[in-house]
Amino acid sequence: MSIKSLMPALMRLSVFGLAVLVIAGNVHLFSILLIPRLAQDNAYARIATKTTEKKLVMATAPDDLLPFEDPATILAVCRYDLSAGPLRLRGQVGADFLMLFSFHTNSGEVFYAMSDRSALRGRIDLWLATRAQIEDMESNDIGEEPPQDMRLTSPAPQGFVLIRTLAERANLMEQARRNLAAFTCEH
Amino acid sequence: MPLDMKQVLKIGAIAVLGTGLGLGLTWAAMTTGFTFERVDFGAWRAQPQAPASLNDPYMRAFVARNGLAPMGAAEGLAFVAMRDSAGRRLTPACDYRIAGPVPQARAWTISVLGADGGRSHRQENRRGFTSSELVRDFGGGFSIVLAQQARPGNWLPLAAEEDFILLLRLYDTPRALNAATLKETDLPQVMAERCR
Repeated sequence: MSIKSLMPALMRLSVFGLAVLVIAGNVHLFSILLIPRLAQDNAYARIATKTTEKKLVMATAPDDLLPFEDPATILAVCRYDLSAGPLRLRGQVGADFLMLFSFHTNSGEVFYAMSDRSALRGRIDLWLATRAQIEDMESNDIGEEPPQDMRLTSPAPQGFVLIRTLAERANLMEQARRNLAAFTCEH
Repeated sequence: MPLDMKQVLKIGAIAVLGTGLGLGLTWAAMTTGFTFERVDFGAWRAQPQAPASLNDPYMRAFVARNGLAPMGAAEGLAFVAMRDSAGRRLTPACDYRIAGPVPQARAWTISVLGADGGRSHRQENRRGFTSSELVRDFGGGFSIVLAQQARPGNWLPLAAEEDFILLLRLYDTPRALNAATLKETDLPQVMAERCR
């Protein structure tokens, strides 16, 4: 048999293979893009089963709440739903305590993060709101004075705020825990 | 033009094979933790950091599937080691020494976690060190020993028969420090010492 007589069969085979690859590529791409929407136990879902909304919940241990968390830290979480109104997060950062804040939507996006360096005179006073609610607050501002509180727009109505604080020595653990527990998150 | 049976079968085969192959690739990417972003630095694998890592669709999928809450760039950087610096899987049958440089950070920690990233060590003993707890040598360097039996100095106990991983967290790092600017030699080595 000559190569020439095999050509039509080879052509058909490579067209078939190419078609399979095109389909496979598309299926792969779409499934990767869909996983974040479809994942049943993303961080928000894990947190939702263990917390109530608009209440600061201290994790008994960081790794009880989320995987790959640092056992040296103390973790608190505040789950929110802005459809009932904006969220206010307030508290005092300790002078020598590292404190970290990250803001997550229910789909896993981290839309803001900051450390205790962002505190104003040792205080954090932050409003988390939807774009419409922020505009509402701005129209209610009176006078020329810039507002003293921080205002943050959440890209989604639902999500959670994680606060991590590090006790750099074991004997500071209680103090760090008290600092964090004194934070409030409410309307 | 009506399709004959042979063509229908062919299209069906393309659809089935294509879908199977595509989903297989997705499964493989998820189990191996494939990402576009460079994540491996010797023994250490960088954990996703928001927002940069979340531009990578593979990282987004990985984060969602594993229920991770990535740290933001203003918070710091995290690394996980599942293997030692020679590339062998970590096992409680070996003793390990962790030593070497740690990138600039306000504080950092090294801890032992269970193989699934959750709580390890049923007993309530030391699970990690923070940068200010470590006993250091005259040059400011440190070394941590992981072993089942107690050791002098910075000792982290390992539980027999329980697989583990290491977590290195750098807190409040400079903005310029990220997975793209970091080198393998910037991170400490994890060396196996004695294996039973």
